[in-house]
Formats: sequence, structure tokens, C-alpha cells
Amino acid sequence: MTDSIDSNSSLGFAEQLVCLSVDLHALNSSSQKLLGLSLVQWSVLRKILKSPAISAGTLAEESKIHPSTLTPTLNRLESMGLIYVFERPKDLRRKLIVISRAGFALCLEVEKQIVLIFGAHAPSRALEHISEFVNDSVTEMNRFQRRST
Amino acid sequence: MKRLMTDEGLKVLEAFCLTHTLFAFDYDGTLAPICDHPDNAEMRESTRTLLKKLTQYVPVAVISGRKRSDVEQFLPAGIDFIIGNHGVEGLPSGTDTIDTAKNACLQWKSALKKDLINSDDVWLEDKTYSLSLHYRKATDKKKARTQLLEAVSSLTPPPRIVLGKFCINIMPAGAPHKGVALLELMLKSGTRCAVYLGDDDNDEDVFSLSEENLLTIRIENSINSGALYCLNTQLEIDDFLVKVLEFCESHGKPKRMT
Repeated sequence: MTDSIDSNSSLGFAEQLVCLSVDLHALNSSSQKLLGLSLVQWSVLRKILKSPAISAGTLAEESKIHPSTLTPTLNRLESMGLIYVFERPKDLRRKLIVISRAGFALCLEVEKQIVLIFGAHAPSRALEHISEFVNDSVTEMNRFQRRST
Repeated sequence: MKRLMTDEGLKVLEAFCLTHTLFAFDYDGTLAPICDHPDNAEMRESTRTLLKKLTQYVPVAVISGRKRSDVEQFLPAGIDFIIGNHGVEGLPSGTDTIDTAKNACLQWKSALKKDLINSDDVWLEDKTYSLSLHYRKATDKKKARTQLLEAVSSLTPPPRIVLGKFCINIMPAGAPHKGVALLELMLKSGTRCAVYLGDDDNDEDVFSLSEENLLTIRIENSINSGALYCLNTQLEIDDFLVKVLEFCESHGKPKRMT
């Protein structure tokens, strides 16, 4: 029984996913050291650039980053002077987030570097499949959790 | 509503200039000062020059309550979209509604000619696809307004009534309004964001849109308006255009249309 579980390809894939997660974390840290922004911070900044006056709620939804993770990222970007967070006129429950001039300049610079580093070899299709698989797995795990409670 | 020409407001405006944004304007009371008669509503020369320059950098739309051909005569060349009759006239998708609007206006006009106070105080402006009843020159404006509202409320088919500055606009119910027009122009121009400036109650169709990607600016503060920011007076429109041009020039953002 143990042998058949050990040889199950799903378990091997799960282990590879863990390795990928660790590698992504390392890539994020390297990006922060080299470019001044982690990939997560860059991605959030890019969304703010493309959608000025976005609220934190919409940003969390669009970037698929959990609000509890997004808040420290936004705080960090704000303290770096890359974004401004204002009270939204007419709706004080929502913030109004915009990119700053410095944020715009850094975002463009980081994007140039990413293109150079990743080059033409970025396997975007493969990542799409993995991302889809991981999302489906999260949904499945949540379903299990609901059933057991 | 916050003032736009402040440190905070200008930071927000600059952010909109850093991405592909449609700049849309109402005409009367926004680009041009309000005047006694619509025929005299010329923009200041400075505004005209600045607006023309803006068209080199960003997609520009004018969405007016006037007839399209009427507002066009006042505008410089290069405006990407000119929409008339509060959004009814000039929209690519509006071909179906335009005939309905024309027929309704003919019916309303003939009914109003019978009912309408026949005096110099009130003037009916026929814009083919909507009607405007002006009472700016009435000595008793309140009385004139009440009488006009009574007259339009009995019209068939029942119109959509939008109050303006000393005028009552009537248009077909269900026809596209300024908010619909703006959203369609954003799609047409391939822009995800828009800045809209207006001064009147009929601009509330845009101001009340809850989209986060819109920067809505009203000429003169009003507590009842849904706009996010305001300019103090119409005179500030030139300062606004100067700022936008300054931001566009410093970031060298090219105009892009799909």
C-alpha cells in the first residue's frame, strides 16, 4: 500500500510544486535586491498604474492577492513613495490609490529589466497551466474543508 | 467633493495622465462659459488653443446636450469624438434609437406648441433628437419652470426629463445618456480610464457611475453631485488643461487609439 502511494505521480508533482514555491520566493527576494521591487510589489504597482484611483478591495480582487497580504505590500509601496493612498471622496470606506511619479519611473525601469532577464524564454503557457492547476487544487481543498466542518 | 487643484487632486490627475485615458468634456458651462443665448457660447481663445493641443496627446471627447452639428462648430479640429443630444446623437451603437428619438421629438414639439406659454420668456430649442425649453429670460423663473414641468409631464410618449441651468431637457426614456456614451467611447478608444468634466445636472449621468476608473470633475462645488472632485469656477478650465498638458509632455506619453 505504502509503495503504491510513494510511486503515485500526484505526490511527486505536489513535491515539485513545493520546490517551485520555494524557488519563486527566492526569485522574489532576488528581484527585490536587484531591481528595488519584488515581483509581487511590481505586479501590484503595475495594476495601480493601469487602473488609477483603484480601491484596495478591487486591487485585491484583480491581483488575486489576499487582502491581508496586500495591505503590507501597499504600506511598503507607500512608504517608498511609489504610491499615494487617499480617502475616496464620496465614499470614505474605500481608499483611492494612485501611482506617484517615482512609482511610474521605477515600474518602467523594472519592466525593462524583467524583459532583459527573462528574455524570450519565459514559458508563459506552461505557467498558465500550473497556475490553473494550483487554483483548482485550492478550490478542491476548500471544498474538502467545508465538507469536514 | 474635493477640490482638484490641490496637491492631492493634482497627484490623482497626474496618475490618470500616466496611463491611456480618455479625456471627455461637456461643452456649455465647462469648456465655454454660460452665456445668455446658446448661439453665443464661444470658448475663450486660450481654452480653444489648449484643447487643440491636448488632442495631440490623448483621445478627447466632447459630450454635449446640444445638437451634434451645433456643438461641432465651436470646437477646434482634431477632437476624436463629438456626441450630441446628451448621448443620443453620434454614438456608433445609437443608430436604432435615433429614429425613435426623432419621432418622439416631433410629437412632443407639436404638443408643446399648443400648451407652451407663448411669450419671449420661454424658448423651445429643437435639437431633432431631444428638446430643450429655455427660461433664462423669464422674469419669474420659478413660475416659468413650474409651468414648463407641468406641460412636459403630460407628453406622450413620456419623456425623460433632465433639468439644466434655466432649461428643461426632454429626451426619449431609455435612450443612451451621457454616462452610457462615455463608457461606449472608452471601449471605442481602447482606454480603460476616463476623466470627465461637466457642470450641469445632466452630467450626473456620468458622475453617478460607480466605476473606479473614472475621475469625475464638476465645475463649481455642489453637495448633491456625485462627482469626486471640482473646479472652483469655469475659469479654472484653462488651469486644468495646462496641468494635463504639462503632465503629458513631461511623461512623453503618445496618443493611442485602437
